[in-house]
Amino acid sequence: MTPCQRYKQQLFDYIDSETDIITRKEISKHLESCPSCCQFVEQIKQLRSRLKALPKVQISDDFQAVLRERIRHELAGKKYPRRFAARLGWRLAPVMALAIAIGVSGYLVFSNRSVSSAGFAEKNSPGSVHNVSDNLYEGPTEFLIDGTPNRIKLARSDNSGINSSPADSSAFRENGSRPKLDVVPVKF
Amino acid sequence: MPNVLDNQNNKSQNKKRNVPTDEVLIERFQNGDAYAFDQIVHRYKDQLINFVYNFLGDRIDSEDVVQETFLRVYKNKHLYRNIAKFSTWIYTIAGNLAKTELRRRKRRRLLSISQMGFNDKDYDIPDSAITPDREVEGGMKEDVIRAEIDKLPVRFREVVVLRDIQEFSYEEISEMLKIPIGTVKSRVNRGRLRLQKKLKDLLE
Repeated sequence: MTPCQRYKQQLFDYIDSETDIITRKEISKHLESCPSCCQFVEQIKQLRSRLKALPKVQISDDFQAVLRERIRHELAGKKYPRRFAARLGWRLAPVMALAIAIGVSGYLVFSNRSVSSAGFAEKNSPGSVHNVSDNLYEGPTEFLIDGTPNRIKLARSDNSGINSSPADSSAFRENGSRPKLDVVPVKF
Repeated sequence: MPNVLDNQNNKSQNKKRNVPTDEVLIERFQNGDAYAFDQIVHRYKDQLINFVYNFLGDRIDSEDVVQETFLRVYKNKHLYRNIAKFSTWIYTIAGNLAKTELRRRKRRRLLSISQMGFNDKDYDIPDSAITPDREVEGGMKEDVIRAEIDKLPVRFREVVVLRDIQEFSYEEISEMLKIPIGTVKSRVNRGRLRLQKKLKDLLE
């Protein structure tokens, strides 16, 4: 709906409260009888309130510090660079994150490989007696988060529902067989 | 951010509390009081960043422009004469710098397009799934409004921002932009009409 051509300019003045009292009364009267002009006025008023309510941009915390630095540069006759570093920083952020992720995962992979290969070399050194199950059982997964070997945990867990005796673990060392565990089922 | 009306209210409150006006502060600064400049920066930084942001749509660029504005005030403090309001003066500087930045961007864009080969052409395919009303439903009303402001020609955009967002009077805008009041009014109205047509779905 478009407003009546005759009132078009006056409607904007009416919205801005820039009309004299007589014109204001005349427009108010017209608005009562003209739905298109009435709707137009309402839409422009709404537009103005929406523009006014747009979210505000927050300035950086270091704004004044940077300005002081910039003025100091200016007074010293040097040119202060625009914030290209900050710009570059944001653009490089995903690349940096990817590089760090690759670095960390690479480190983890290689450190694991070196640990297992070192263990393998030790086991294969002349004079050492071992079998395959030794390698499997004594790998890095042998340790719990607190760093205590499972074997020691098993030996200590006599009164926790999981029963195994030190004899079982020594049997394991000698025979290469896993210790027998008596697991008491827990009812919920 | 305190808008101009708030500022006017603050000014009347400031008079009661003996808080110096902008004009007093700039005079003090002209007489060598560096603390007065800090107070000016504190008063205007939020207003100016929001004003410039409506031109550039980028926070870092806007901050750069606002920094440059204060730097110009610092260097050219002796050029301010107490004929016009200080706010008019500082907004004129910020507006001119923002427009210069826009022109620079346009040149850069033209240059990058002219350097493109035939196969490098960028074809912008409009996303038919995103219509203005769907975006509004998705809670993106502000983004839609900002996008439409960005699309306005600069001569309409600057007056709409100054009038309807920063809430300056027509006289102040006329003084800032050095154009007659009649031209300011007609540009504001044409800008509003364009926005009203584009944002119809949002306004009904």
